[in-house]
Amino acid sequence: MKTKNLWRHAYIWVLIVFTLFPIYVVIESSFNSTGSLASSSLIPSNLSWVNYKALFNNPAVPYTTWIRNSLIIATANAIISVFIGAASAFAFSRMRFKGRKAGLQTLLLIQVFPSFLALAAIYVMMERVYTVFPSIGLGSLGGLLLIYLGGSMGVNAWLLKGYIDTIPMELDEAARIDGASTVQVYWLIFFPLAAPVLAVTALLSFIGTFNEFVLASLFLQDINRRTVAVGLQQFVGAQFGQNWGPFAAGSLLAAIPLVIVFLSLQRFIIGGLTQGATKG
Amino acid sequence: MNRLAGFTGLPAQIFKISFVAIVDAVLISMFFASTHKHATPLAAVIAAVLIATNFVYFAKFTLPFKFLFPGLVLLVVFVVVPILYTVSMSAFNYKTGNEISKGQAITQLLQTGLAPDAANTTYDMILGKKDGNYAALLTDQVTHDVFIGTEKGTTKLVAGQFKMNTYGIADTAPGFHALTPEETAGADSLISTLKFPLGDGSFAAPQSADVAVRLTQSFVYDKATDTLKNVSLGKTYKDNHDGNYANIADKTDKLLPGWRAFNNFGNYIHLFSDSTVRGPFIGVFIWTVSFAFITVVMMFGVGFLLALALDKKLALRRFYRSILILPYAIPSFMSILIWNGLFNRQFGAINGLFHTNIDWFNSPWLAKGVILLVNLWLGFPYFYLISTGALQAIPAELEEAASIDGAKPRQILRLIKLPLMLQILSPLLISSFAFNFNNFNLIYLLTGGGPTDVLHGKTAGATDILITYTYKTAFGSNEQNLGLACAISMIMFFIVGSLSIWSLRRSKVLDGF
Amino acid sequence: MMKKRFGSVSVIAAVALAASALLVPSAHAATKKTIVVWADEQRGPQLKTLIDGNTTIAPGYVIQVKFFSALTALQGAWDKATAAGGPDVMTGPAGMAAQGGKSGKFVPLPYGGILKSQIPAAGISAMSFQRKIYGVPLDVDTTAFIWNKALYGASAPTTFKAMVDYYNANKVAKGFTGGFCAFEGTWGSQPVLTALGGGAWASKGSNANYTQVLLNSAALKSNIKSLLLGADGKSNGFFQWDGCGDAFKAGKIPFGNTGAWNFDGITKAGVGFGIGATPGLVAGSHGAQWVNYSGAYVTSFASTHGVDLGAKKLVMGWFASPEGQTAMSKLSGRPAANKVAAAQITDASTLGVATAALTGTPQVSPVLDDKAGGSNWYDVLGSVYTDIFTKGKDVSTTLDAAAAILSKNFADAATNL
Repeated sequence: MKTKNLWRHAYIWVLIVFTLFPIYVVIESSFNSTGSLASSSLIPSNLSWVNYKALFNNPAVPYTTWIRNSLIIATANAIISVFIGAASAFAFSRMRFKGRKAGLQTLLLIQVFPSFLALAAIYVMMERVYTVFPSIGLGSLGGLLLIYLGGSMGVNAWLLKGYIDTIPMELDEAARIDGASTVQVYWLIFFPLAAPVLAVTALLSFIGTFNEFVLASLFLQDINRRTVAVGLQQFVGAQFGQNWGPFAAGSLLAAIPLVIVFLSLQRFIIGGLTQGATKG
Repeated sequence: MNRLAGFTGLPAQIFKISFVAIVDAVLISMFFASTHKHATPLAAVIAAVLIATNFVYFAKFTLPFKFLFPGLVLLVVFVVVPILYTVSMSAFNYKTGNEISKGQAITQLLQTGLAPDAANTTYDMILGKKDGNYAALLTDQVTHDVFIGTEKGTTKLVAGQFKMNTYGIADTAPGFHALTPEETAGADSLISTLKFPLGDGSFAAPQSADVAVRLTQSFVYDKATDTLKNVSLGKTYKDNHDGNYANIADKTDKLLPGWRAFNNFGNYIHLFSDSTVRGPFIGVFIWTVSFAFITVVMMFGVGFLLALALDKKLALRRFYRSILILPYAIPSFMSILIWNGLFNRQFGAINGLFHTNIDWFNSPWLAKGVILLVNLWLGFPYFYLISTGALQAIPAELEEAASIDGAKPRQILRLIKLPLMLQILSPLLISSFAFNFNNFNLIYLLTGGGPTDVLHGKTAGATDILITYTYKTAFGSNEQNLGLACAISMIMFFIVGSLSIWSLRRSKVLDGF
Repeated sequence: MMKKRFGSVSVIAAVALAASALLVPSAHAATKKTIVVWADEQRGPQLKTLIDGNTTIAPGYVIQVKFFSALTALQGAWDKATAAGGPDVMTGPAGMAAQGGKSGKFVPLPYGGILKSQIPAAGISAMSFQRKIYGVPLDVDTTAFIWNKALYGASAPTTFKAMVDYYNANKVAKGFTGGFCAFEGTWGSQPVLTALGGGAWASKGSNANYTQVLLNSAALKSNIKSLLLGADGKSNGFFQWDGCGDAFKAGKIPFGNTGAWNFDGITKAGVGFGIGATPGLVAGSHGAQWVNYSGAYVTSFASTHGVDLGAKKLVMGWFASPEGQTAMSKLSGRPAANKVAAAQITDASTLGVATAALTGTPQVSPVLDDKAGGSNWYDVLGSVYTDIFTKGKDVSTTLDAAAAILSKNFADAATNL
């Protein structure tokens, strides 16, 4: 090994140890039957499945229900919000209309508003909705989905607009000469072309929803309606020392599919992130 | 383009119309369901959406709106309206004790102004009607005297004028017809306001379907002057225009509950003039800005260096990269909770591993260090990724030209690459600063804002950033001050918002075409 | 204009569709008025089996119990609830009475003479705010002293010093990680403070004197130094108040203090324990734990919903009654607040807690929750413990600083009682 590259390897390995340390501890303690957070050595001991079993046999911790709730709401949000975001981004990118620039700026401003303070207003609003339509009111996954969707235009329109700007205009124009309407250009030309980016956007919003817990913890009070983020947070928050093992197991199970999807799509995701950078 | 042919003309029209028809049907039935339950605001919103939908999709309306409409509706209803509400609440005295409307507060004050007599006289009550008016047979629980009361007055009945049931409660009297439980429940709102005067200013008031108590009204509301009078103490209370009735002789003597009142942006004035509010606010503000700045610099530094380290073709590069972006792929709420556990004094792996007993979260400086470290773990992969992207965007010719001119690699890095990178990445750095400025999850889940040096009069935690401090102010235990919290969030919005707009203008993204 | 024609066709179609959808909700029959009761995750399931769907307690109404996943979730929802979706009857800790009275979300309940004779005075004062009663006490929330019989023996220690001596003598041999565990944190540590001559405020008989703060009493200062600190001025490890419950269950802490809700878990962990009162400085004296009540409250939303009378009937006639409280106590294991119901307790551990409650101090929430001095009693006490036992700061200065804050709190709160 050349000395020139020595610092690179040293630096990379320091970061790898830093990165893997908490992950390793979690894996280790998820298999540790004492269920305790305390580990004075890094060598695994008392290996067993007991923490994983605890997740599936405990009525106070309906883990499978939480995962199902998270999957339902994250999937629904990912799909619908991509449609909303794509339509908005298409309009902002391809059409010229009055208020376009102001609209984009307003969207950005709404994005940076510390909106969790609007929680009180959202709560009161959804409480009213609940009295008439319980399935989309307070405490329901449907209601939470509506609130998430409310924010989806702001998040996704900006993200997608960057990509759409890179799709050459000539394609649209060619179609138009063939007599296609704007709606047709959108569905038949733009949508297939943008499919990969749309998939990545959907994935990012899936992860975002999976992660969200401020709104969800206010909104979903029933233990069987919780998402995995809220469920695990309240569960481990109750008794840290005691519930650490099952918490570690639950986190791992929830994180593994996400990590696999993320790593297999990393090329696209990285492309999306760097897009913003290189377009400057 | 033949593919297009199938989607024009009639079929497309029918598709569109049936789609809108279904939406209309759903909205119309929702509208009627709301009016049926007298949910007027809800019905109004649904009607507005309904009209807008049909207008946008059927009228000759600008095309872009047909694309923007679904997102726009959801945005307005679920984001913009709550935000406007927040903005308006920042101008109100809205805190524990000042939550309800003025009308409700007056009702409550009059209710609390009802005083039972010294003996706590309680009557078993049979509700009924006499001559078509509500009436009650009242049996004193202690003396067993029996009265018949109407809203006009109460008369004592003597033996023979009534009959008692097996529980010793008078239940029949001439001309008196008892109500069924269903009739009573049906007239609940009316019956709960009934008063049967007892002649000495006191009255018997129903407390439930079968019990009444003897009460005296000590508070009287005068609508003309908008004052409440305490009759027994002779005090007069007037609206103090801050959400309470206050004693005209002693302004600190306020009646509770108060109401949510417009107080001329008093929350903002409070924030800058009241030292008990201003003190913690300034401290928190300084830490928020320094935290956001330091953490971005750290994450960028580590990520950028990693991008440089992995820029060369190294063995195992793909493997390294896959591991090093793991923190970015793991749901961050889990990572933060895990780090919280690792730093736990008693059970944490870090103290366990190094055989120390450091109370990480109880020292302001250690807690701040932990926060920066954990956020570094969470954030460096992102900066690594964007730095890689930016490095690749720097034209190779630049580097070549510089090295021909005799520049050393280190000089190229310092004088050419780094400035260029900073320029390319500045919008992302600024948005990352804005994100961390409001990084609620990190602080809330890791330290909860603590430690708080309570004994030296601190009310904000050492690691509280504005958003967690606001959260505590708005939704904290026991004492909540939503009005003040909204005012603080407006200031936060102003800072982050102007920063974002400034960086947007600077990056010229909007001027492209 | 083809478009226009289609537009009108669609509107007609939509109206037809909507009309058919409307047939379902409009055909509903007149139903009984519903009284909605909110409860936490512990009491909720119990109330569900006892009164959910009941139509006889309040004739003409039907009772519906809704429960939340945690007490914090219940309180979070209650803080934001309005008449639109809020409950008619709330259940929860006594601290809610003052908040509800202050905010106008609870209505005052005039007690009848019989009820007043059945509810202990401390229970009524716990439900009061500004001399109005806002709820009925349901059961007693308090802790009792427990000790590990396998370790210490069948009979309780007689003095505080006996516990400390036992701990010091066996610390190494038995691998103790602490001597006394206050399971419930600063709230549960109250009997330790009072056993050592401290406490929150002075009281004479049943009258509290809020102007005299006891946290910096000379007795407490010297007893902390002699009993809880080592020669080096740092904690001797005896007193634990933060997440020590597992250690007690593992037999690594011999003494402790907790409530009925933890007894099952301790028994399941295989620890045989005795129940009593925390030993004081001399034999026969005892520390006094906080005695709090949970209450049931009628909200001001009930009258908006037109169920005011029914809600009051449910609260005064069932929640407060001997029958209702006996039924609840049997399911929850908590001692009933109603004296008649309390006299019927037969369960041993419930009885143990009920007996311990007799020596306790009423937990006056408006005073303890007040933060006019900056922070409330519990936060102040938490900082005191951290400073003295974890950081090893000076006992006198720490307690004096705390007392300065508390005296402001107490003075402020006393004006509102």
